[in-house]
Parts: sequence; structure tokens; C-alpha cells
Amino acid sequence: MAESVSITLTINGTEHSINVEPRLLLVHAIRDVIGLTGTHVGCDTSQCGSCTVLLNGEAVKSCSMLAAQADGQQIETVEGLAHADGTLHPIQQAFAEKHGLQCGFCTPGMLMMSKALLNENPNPSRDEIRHALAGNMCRCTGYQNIVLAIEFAAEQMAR
Amino acid sequence: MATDAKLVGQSVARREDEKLLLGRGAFVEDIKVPGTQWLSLVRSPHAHARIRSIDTSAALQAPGVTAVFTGKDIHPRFGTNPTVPLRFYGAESAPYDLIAVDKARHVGEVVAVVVADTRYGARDAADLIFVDYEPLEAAIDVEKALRDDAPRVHDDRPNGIIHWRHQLGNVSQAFEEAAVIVRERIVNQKIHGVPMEPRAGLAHWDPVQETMSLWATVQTPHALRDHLAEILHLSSDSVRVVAPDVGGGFGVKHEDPEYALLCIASMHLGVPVKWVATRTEDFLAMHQARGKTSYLEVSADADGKLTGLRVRHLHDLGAYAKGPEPSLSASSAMISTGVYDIPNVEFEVRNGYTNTTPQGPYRGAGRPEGIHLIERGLDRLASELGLDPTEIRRRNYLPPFDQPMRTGGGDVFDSGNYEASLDQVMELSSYRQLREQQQQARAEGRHMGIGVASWVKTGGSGPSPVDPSSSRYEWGRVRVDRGGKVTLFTGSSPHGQGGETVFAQIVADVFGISDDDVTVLHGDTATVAHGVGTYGSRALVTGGMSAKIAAEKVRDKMLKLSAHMMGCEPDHMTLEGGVFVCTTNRERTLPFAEVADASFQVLARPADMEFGLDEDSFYQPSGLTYNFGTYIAVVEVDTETGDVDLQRLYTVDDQGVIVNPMTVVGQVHGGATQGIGQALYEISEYDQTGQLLNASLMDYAIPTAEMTPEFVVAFSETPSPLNSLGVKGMGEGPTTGAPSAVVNAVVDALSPLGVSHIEMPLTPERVWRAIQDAQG
Repeated sequence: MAESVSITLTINGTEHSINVEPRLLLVHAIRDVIGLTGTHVGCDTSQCGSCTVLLNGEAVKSCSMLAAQADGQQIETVEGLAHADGTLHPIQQAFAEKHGLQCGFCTPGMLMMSKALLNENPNPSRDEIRHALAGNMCRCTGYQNIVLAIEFAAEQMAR
Repeated sequence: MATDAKLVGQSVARREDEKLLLGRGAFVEDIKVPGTQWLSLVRSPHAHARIRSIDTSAALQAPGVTAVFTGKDIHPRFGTNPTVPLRFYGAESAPYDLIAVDKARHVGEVVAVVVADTRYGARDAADLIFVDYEPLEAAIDVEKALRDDAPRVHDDRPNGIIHWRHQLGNVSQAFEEAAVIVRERIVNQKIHGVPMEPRAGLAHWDPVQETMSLWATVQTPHALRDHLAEILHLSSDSVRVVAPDVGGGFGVKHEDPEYALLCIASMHLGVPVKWVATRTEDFLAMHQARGKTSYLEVSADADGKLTGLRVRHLHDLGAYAKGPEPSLSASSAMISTGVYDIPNVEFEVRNGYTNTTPQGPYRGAGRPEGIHLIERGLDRLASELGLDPTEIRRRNYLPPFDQPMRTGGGDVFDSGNYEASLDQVMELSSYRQLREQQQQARAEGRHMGIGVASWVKTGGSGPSPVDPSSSRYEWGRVRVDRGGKVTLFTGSSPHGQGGETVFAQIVADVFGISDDDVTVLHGDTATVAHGVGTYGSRALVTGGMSAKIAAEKVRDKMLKLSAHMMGCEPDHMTLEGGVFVCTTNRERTLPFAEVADASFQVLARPADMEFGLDEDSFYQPSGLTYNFGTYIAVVEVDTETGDVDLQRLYTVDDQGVIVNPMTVVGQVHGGATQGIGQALYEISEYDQTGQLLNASLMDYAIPTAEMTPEFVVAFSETPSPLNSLGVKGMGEGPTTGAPSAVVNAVVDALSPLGVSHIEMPLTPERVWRAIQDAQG
């Protein structure tokens, strides 16, 4: 696999021009090439959602697309969620407040999915939250506190 | 730093959260060492096959490949996993090679190893290895595997291993005299732990120092250190294992052969080597759990009082005996007397090798299977006798007790108050109203069901009641520096439970200081000299107590030192809110940091006092703790499709004294969700040739947000008399209680249709078939 392609990814506002194998998965470009390791891989088959990032504002599973497919596009990862001064985003604060994380491995994907949901629907019902999380698995929390956290974040963001 | 408020009992915010929320956690795959090469494994596609030959030539010539090795290459220098000690059972486990040499014994067993300079390159090269197999007939189902004519998993021995019995009273006579007997064959299906972070390791051999460092996603870094030292022929102090941030464990992240292979590759090449399992690799080769076929017989008199229990457990070990697994089959039978007074008991436990992935502990470790038997049995008896499920339990609970007591099953319970737990959950769920709603639903043609289950689960694993040789400790060390900052080094290895936060609460309370002044270090055998690790609901009991005792030793030394410094009688010194006070003259006080600094000064100390503030504790619990509870599930079943709508789960857990209520609620939600997974969705599905049919998260259903109910949780606190914290541990109670509550609810919903039992998982197809069978 000697051939490579030149691509440009804008991640959390920073432009990265990189040469990658055409088959390189987006998540491996983000983690291994660019070095942002907050985005995780939990299943390889697009079920678990640990690798969820925002592509032009929409949630995508970065393990299920190629880096080359994201050429020229805007990507947001968990590392871009907090404010520039280091304070947590209301969604991050809400997850801490409501104990919406335990081991924290699925959490980056949950946070990014939550952001996508609240962008689209700033005041979701609990059922709508659960539905939005259908592609994000957590084995620790049983989801109830994640649902409460997203509800709480929505309230805080509406203020 | 001083505080008078006790931190134990408060929902202190988790110190673990911020880095995880920012994406700055350090999980194994996130750790990068320059020059690292990648390891990929070739795994057997056959459940049972002779390995005729392995051709590695093409792989060796592939770009970037630096090493290829097979079982023959490393055998006999590094040959096998240390065998599981089974002397107590008069048994010997079969050899477990790190890489299969002559024969592969389950799909997913490692047959060859490839190392290359890139992740993708290693995987490509693994695909170039050609293995010539001679497929053999496989033993898949444990019941068949235990027959004399079954294919042998290990050629030199029969599949049956460990035949354990226990007897109390006279069950045959009890059955003869009983008013009612229920008999059922019950399968606790094989399931997977599925922590969200797959297994991963990074081994780094230092050829100059001749030391091995391994970062691994495990629950027990010290156990892995000792395990690797034995395999690699090194001293334990030449091996460092680090469990950094660990993405869930649930009992399945332990001493797997892959870690030794990483170390061997790194030693051979002299470079760091990394491996990250795919999810499918974890399904095929990380240990599975439960896997028991059981025969239950239970009797009662006409009043519903239990008179006899006979359990025959057939436990599937998989291809190799792993970790503590064989002994857990006996523990599983023992707990099947549940929280009840049963005078006549008979257990027979057999373990059998099969050509499937080895089994091991998973959140509950045998106890959910035992509890499921008695909780199903009680509902069947209640139904035969026309009693409410709560009433038959009420008539059989062990009376309240606060000192250790031996049960009919042979466990020694520490304390319990079981009827109170039932009362509490009945009130929490408005049980009478639920039954009225059920009548209403039935009148409308809807199939609502209410399921009750009382449970008990061992915690604080110290000495095993089955095998006294298996005693376990935990180690804690508390050091106070010259500035008065406190550090706990704990052998406990938290991985999501919030242990850093909780241990800091305990240590801070000993000194009366803020938990912000307590640092908690764990998970690195170079930093923490000793340890056993986190499993079996043991961290709070054993890690918490070793931390507390070590802190108390330091505190006592500081009291003595401060008395000397102030010229106060030692008996009159107290530590109040982080300040040393002489009670006979309360004007005289010393700040915490000043006493800490004095401990390093020649002149400040009494002549016979050693320098410094640094104490440790090997805490050995005197027995196991037993958390308990009662759960009520509410379901509605669509009889046309068999679909179960689990609407609510009411839980009452008693884990002794609660240290951090917020994290305890989290344990209940998460554990109950895993229990619901077993009840409704999860099964490791093998075909008759031994292929695992659902080895990905596309095919294996762990619960998602839409598949879980609303939890309504409450707690009681019956202190354990075995430790001064009064704690019991609690992480595995919910996986033990939830399955039976859910199954009992579904059977309750369908009992008017004649359904008396359904095997887990209660998939729509199984529920629908049960209805069809009952309707004839």
C-alpha cells in the first residue's frame, strides 16, 4: 500500500494537510495521524458510536468512513467541545453533574451525539433523547443518567 | 484543608470525570511510544482442528513485517499459561498453550502472531499466513460434552473435570413428604461482558535493564504482573504492568494470553509492540460467562414453607480452565439457597471442557445463575400453591441477623434483613396498586406482568468459603509529605466505578481534611508495590479498608508526634478538622502540615520514632460480605409478536454503609441494565460446529437507550459486621437480581395463557413459541 492521497481536514478549527493511505479510516487519521485520541473505537461495525464526531455539524461514525472522504470538510471532535478558556461545555458539565459517565470510554461519542441532537432539537423529550442515542452504546451507566444529563444540558443551554 | 464534615455518605463529585469529558483520558490505545510496532493475531476458524502445518513464508516477505511466530516457535521456552490451581478439588487443569501448537480447541484461539511496522500492515500480513487444518468433530454443548462418547477437547483426558458435592439434611425424604415439588431444567445462557473498550496492550522490553513494561486494559495489574513474570521467567520486580484508564471491565479483563504474546514479541524485537483487539476478536477470545445447564428440584409444604432443594449444575468451562472459573461453579450452587431458610439441600456440580471460548467471571460470577434457579423455583411453587410471589418469599426469608451465619448452601452471610427489603420495594412500587392495574389490564385483554426477585451476592472477596486456599488481601499505603499533602497508593484498580473519588473520601475522613488534599494513585505496579485488584465487588471493602487502616496508622503516629511536640499527654491529643488539639489545654494546637514537616526533623521527634509518615496495610477480610436486595419488574407482553415491553424496574439494594450515594445509584442503573441484557437480549449463539454466530455488536445485542426501562431505585443500609466501614460492596447485586425479576414478570404476564417458564434471553421468538406451546 505505497500509494497515498493528500487531504486536508479541518479539525476543531485547525487545518491539517496530511498524506494518507486511501483506505485509512477517518478515526485512525484523527487518532493516529493527527494525534487527537479522545475519539475512540469500540466496535468496528458502526454500532457502538464511541467514534462519533461531527462532520459539517452532523454526527457521523468516524470508524465507518475513510479519511479521504472527509477531505476539505469541517470536523469537530470531543477535544473541541470545551470553551477556549478551558471551561466545560454545558453538555460536559451536565454529564458530570448527573453522573452520566463511569469508565468514560463511550463518553466522547455520547457528548458529540448529544451536541448534534441539541443543535437540531434544543428541547428534546426523554423519548426523543433515547431515540437519538440508539447508535451510541454504553455498558456502564444504564443510560438513565445520560438521558437526565442531556435534558439538563438542554435546560442550561436554553437559559 | 480542614473540614469537620464527614465525607463518607456524601455524593462527592467524581475526580475522574473532567479528563474523560475533555477527551484527555489515557486508555491503552491512546498511549504512544516512538518506534512502536503493531501485532496482529491469526486465530483458528475451526472449533476443533488438528494443525497439520503453518506456512508463514508469504507473511514474512510482506512489506514492513518484522516477526512471525507460531506455537512451535515459542514452545517450550515460553510455552503455556500458568495452570489454574485446582488441588482443592483434587483436579488438575489441562495445559493451556499461549499459542495452539498441535490442535486448536475453539474458534478464535491464537495460532500465529505477526508483527509489522504499521497497524494495517500487520493485519495484511496475518491474512497471508496459511494454516493447514484437519477439522475434528467438536464438543459444543456441555451436557453432551460430559458424555463418555463425546469428542475429547484434550486428547489425554475426559472432558469432565471437578465433580463437587454438598449435602445438608435429607432431600429425598423432604421430597417424599412435600406437598408440592417443582422440577425444571434451566439454562443460564452464555453471555459476554462487552466492556466498551476492547482489550489492548503495549509491551516495551528494555534490553539494557532487562525489564518489561506493559500497559494493558485490565482490572488486576498486579496479578497480570505475576502471571507474566512466571511465563517470561523474570522476577515480579522486573515486570511493570500499568492499567491506565480502563474502559470498563465487568470481570472480563484479566490475564489473557495475548498480553504474554505482546511481551514475547517485544523481547524478541527489542522494540515496543502494540495490539488493539477488534470487537470480533473480543467476542471470540475474551472469556465468556454464565454458561450453565441446571436441573432444579425444589419442594414446599402446604403452607409454602421450603423443605428441600436439589441443584445439579453442569458448567461449561470452554476449551480451557481459566482464572477462578472452576471454583465459581461451586459458589454458584451454594448461593442457590438464596436468602431463604431451606433445611435440606443437595448440590452436584460438574464442569466440562467444550470446544468453545473459555469461560470466566463476569459481573456476578456464578451467583446470578444460582439466584435465578431459586427465584424461578419460588415463583413456580407460589403458582402451584396459589400464593402471591411476595407471600411465598415472606414465609421463607432468613430472619434478620447482624452477625455471621451459615446458610443451608454453605455460605457464611455477614448480616441481612431480607423481609424489610421486600417491604421497602413493595412500598416503592405501590405493589398492591400494581396488582390492581394488572387485573384491569387483563380485563382489557392486555398482558401485564409483575416480577419479584430477592437476591444476595458475595462481595469483598477475601477467603473463599469453598476453597480456603484462595484467600485474597488488598494493599494500601498512605504517605503524608512534608507539606501535609496525603497520597494513597492502592492495589485496588478502579476502572469506571469512581474508586479514586471514594477512596479519597475515606482517607480524608480519617484525618478530617478535605478530599482535595488526598491524591489517589493506582493501577501501576511500579508505583503501587502490592495489590490484588478490582473484581468480585471487593474494591470498597478491601481497597477501602486497607486505605483506612494505613491512614489510621499514619494518623496515630501524627497524634503521638504532635503530643511530643506540644508536651501534651498522648491520650489527650485529638485531630479535629485537620488540626491537632491538646484536649487538656485547647489553646494549644498544631496545624496538620507542621506536624507532617516535623516528622522529618531530627529534633522534633521522640527519640524512638522513625522518620516520616508512610504506613501500609495488607488488609485480609475475615469473611465475605453479602449485599442483598429485592427487585420488582413491570412488563407488558405483546402476545401476537412475543415482544416484551419492560416498563419499569424498582430496586432496593442493601450494600451496607453507603460511601458515595451518586456512584451507588450509577452502579445499580448499569448493573441492572446488564442483568436486563441477560434476561431479554443477550446470548452467545454457537452452531453445532462451534461457530459463534453473533461475534460482533451488529449481531450481539447489548441494551441500548431505547431497550432499557426507567429505574426507580432505593437503598437500605445494613452494616457489615466484618469491617469498620460497615461496607459490603455492591457492583454485582444488580446483575444478580435483575434477570430473575424480569423473567418472573414475563412469566407472570403469560401465566393466564398457561406459560410456566421461558428460558433466557426472552427474545420475541422465544416468548411467542412459549405462548404457542402452552396453548397447544
